[in-house]
Amino acid sequence: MLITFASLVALCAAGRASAGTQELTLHMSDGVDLAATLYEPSAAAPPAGYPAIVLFHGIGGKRQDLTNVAQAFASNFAVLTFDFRGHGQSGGLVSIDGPREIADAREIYDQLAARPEIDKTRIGAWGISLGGGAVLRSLVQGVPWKAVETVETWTDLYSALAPQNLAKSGAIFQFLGSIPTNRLDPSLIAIRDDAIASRNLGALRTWADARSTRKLLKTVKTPVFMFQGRRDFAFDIDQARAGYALLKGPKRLYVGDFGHAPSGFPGPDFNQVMKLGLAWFGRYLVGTPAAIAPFGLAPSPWRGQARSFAKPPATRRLTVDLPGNDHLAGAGRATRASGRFTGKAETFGAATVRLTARLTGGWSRLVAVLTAQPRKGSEIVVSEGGVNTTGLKGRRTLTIRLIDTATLIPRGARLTLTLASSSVAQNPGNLLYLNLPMPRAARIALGPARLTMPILRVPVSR
Amino acid sequence: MKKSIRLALLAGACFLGLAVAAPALADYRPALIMEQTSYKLGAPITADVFLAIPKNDDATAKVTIFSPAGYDANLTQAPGTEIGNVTAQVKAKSAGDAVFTLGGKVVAADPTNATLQAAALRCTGNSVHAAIWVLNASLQGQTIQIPDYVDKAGPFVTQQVCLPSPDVPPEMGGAVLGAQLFAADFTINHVFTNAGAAGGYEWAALFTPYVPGASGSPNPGGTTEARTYVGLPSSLTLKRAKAKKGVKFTGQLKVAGLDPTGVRIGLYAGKKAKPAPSAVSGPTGKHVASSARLPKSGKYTLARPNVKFATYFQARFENYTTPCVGNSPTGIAAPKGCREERIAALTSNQLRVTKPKPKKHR
Repeated sequence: MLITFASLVALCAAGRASAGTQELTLHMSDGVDLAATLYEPSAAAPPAGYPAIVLFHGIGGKRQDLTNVAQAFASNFAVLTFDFRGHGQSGGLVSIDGPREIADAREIYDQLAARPEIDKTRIGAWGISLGGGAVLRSLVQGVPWKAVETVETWTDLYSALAPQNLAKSGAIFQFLGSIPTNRLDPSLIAIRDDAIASRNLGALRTWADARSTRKLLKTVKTPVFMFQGRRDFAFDIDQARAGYALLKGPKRLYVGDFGHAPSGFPGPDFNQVMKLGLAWFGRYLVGTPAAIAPFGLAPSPWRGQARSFAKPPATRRLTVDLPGNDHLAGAGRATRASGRFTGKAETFGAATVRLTARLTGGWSRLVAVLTAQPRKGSEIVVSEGGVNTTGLKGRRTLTIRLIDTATLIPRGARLTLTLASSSVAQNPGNLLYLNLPMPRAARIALGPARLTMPILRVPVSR
Repeated sequence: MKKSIRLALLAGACFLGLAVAAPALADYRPALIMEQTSYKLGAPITADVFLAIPKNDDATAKVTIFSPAGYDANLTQAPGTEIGNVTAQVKAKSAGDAVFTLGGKVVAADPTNATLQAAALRCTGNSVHAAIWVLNASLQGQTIQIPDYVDKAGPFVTQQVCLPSPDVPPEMGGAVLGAQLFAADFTINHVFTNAGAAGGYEWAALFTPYVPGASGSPNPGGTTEARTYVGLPSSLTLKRAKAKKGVKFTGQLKVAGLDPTGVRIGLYAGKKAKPAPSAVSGPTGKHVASSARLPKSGKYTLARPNVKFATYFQARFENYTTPCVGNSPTGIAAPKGCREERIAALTSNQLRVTKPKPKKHR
């Protein structure tokens, strides 16, 4: 009774914005208020109350960004959207799914569960990017979500943001730049510059591990549906696939035509994403039977239907030798081109670039950008990646693991591999790896490269 | 107009050299590198303005550019008119000193716009200007707008540009991202017309740095002048000559007021047209050869092997400088004096060379 009363106070309604929605202020235990909107179905609540879904938005966003998602779910469920602390109309500071945000998730769950019209045994969570990370982290930390869905998010934040110990400086810069400095938690400001510059990586790893779930997912038996983008250079397919493999409960993975840059959300297959999402929550929150394939892969361009698989689709390895010798300094670049593809190929998995290099003068990083130039049309960035070479000198064999994407390489296209200290060398607008300072005396001599790409045995795109 | 004959020296620092120059505390070494689409007497031109400051030098607070005395200018463009393109490079302190390249259009703005007039007052001390051009430098949807306040002042057209301090937070009037501009290349179309009298002319610019540190105060005592020399008329020709073997080119460099003795001409080649850079476009090809040092006549010869596919060739005179000669054409003595005087680059006509036909053996 006390909880119910407290929750009623906490969920003080600021008036109905429109039929079926209420604007709320959620009071958190540390005194911070979060702005929220509650959507309720127009049909009368069942005796046990509405099944409900909490939506978690992305970094730099606000609850209104998810209006279309909320409306899609609101016909069957009560839906609560809220502004993360440090975002939108909420108070507080952003620490990116830190302990305080996870505590918020727990308190939001508790306050929603305490509402009389909500069935507290049937509350699910849906989160995108930052929100997906919060959903998974809160799940492994014991928030009793009945079922969850995550969209374009991470399971291991360190390997997503600093693969091979080289920070995706542009992605980090853009994520943090989406929040005003005065809304960043001091703990975040403390690591910001080091994170961009790939310095003090131990501290970055500790910070990221506290926001990751990969190691804990093997304990999860809650139904989890992961939606991941085909071409997402921040949180790639592997972030979902590695987590998906560990889950112990009901699970699904859909790789669709959306994501962070170079993609966007919603994508052309948004209706498919929502159809699958509704079916998942329908099955595990309401008990409505639904047949959903364990693994779905959307073609790109989207053609109205995804391919279904019982397990991730089979691939084969394609090896391309890219000969050449180059000497780089500063912002210089080397380019290696392949012959034309006689057939089309669709990547699925992380390609690797292996090459010999001689490093001198403190050369601190090597970035590889793989592009495809079709006979007609504009250049496609197939994937990119980088390796931290700080402390290395002399002759070395370097292996650069590229971002795991599903990218169609059209028939007749020519592949180009750009090797440089930043992705900007490939194109000034390619800001994944920023053009950061390099010691003046730093040099790298690059030998022949070998590109190995996993490609689908049977492409789904055309 | 200048009548003295200058000797050209190879410029110590080209664009790339400036961009990667070594860190130097409290150094300030700006350059003004002008190029025109025409060096004919009385011809309308597109002016290419290239401002370059080594990126580890002090940040720039203000630049004032003076057109050569004797040039005509039309400052009556309607607001919204695109008058050129801009490419800028900035070093962003808030992103670990990452370098960003931004590009966009130069657009004539409404000089009676109250917001622009207020900004003009802060920059130039005067809210009213004959024209205001806005340099819109964008990257991934983010645009930095840099107003350029334009006036006719005596025989010159002056352009005044103020830049926010990278050391001051944006909410206090500092630069977004802590951006420090170290290179800006913008074109101005259909505004300037060359002088009608033959001789030497000078573009000049006064660069004022900020005091290093978080004060955000300009350092007027650090103001430095840089110039670009333009000889009118000037020309650089490229002709194909007969050769027993390979491809041979001849040509001549003529720059009014300049003794070309010792200059080298660069040869660019590529599969696409216009392989060499010019005032309005970057190179589509590569620098493939340089001539021997030129005699006083300015005539040169260049030889290349036969081409394996149709190839375009262009010659180019670039990267030369002279010591600053005489007093400033602006009439203003910069406290740090004149650093250098570039000589405006010239690009020749282009020639297309095809693969030679195999000889018939009887």
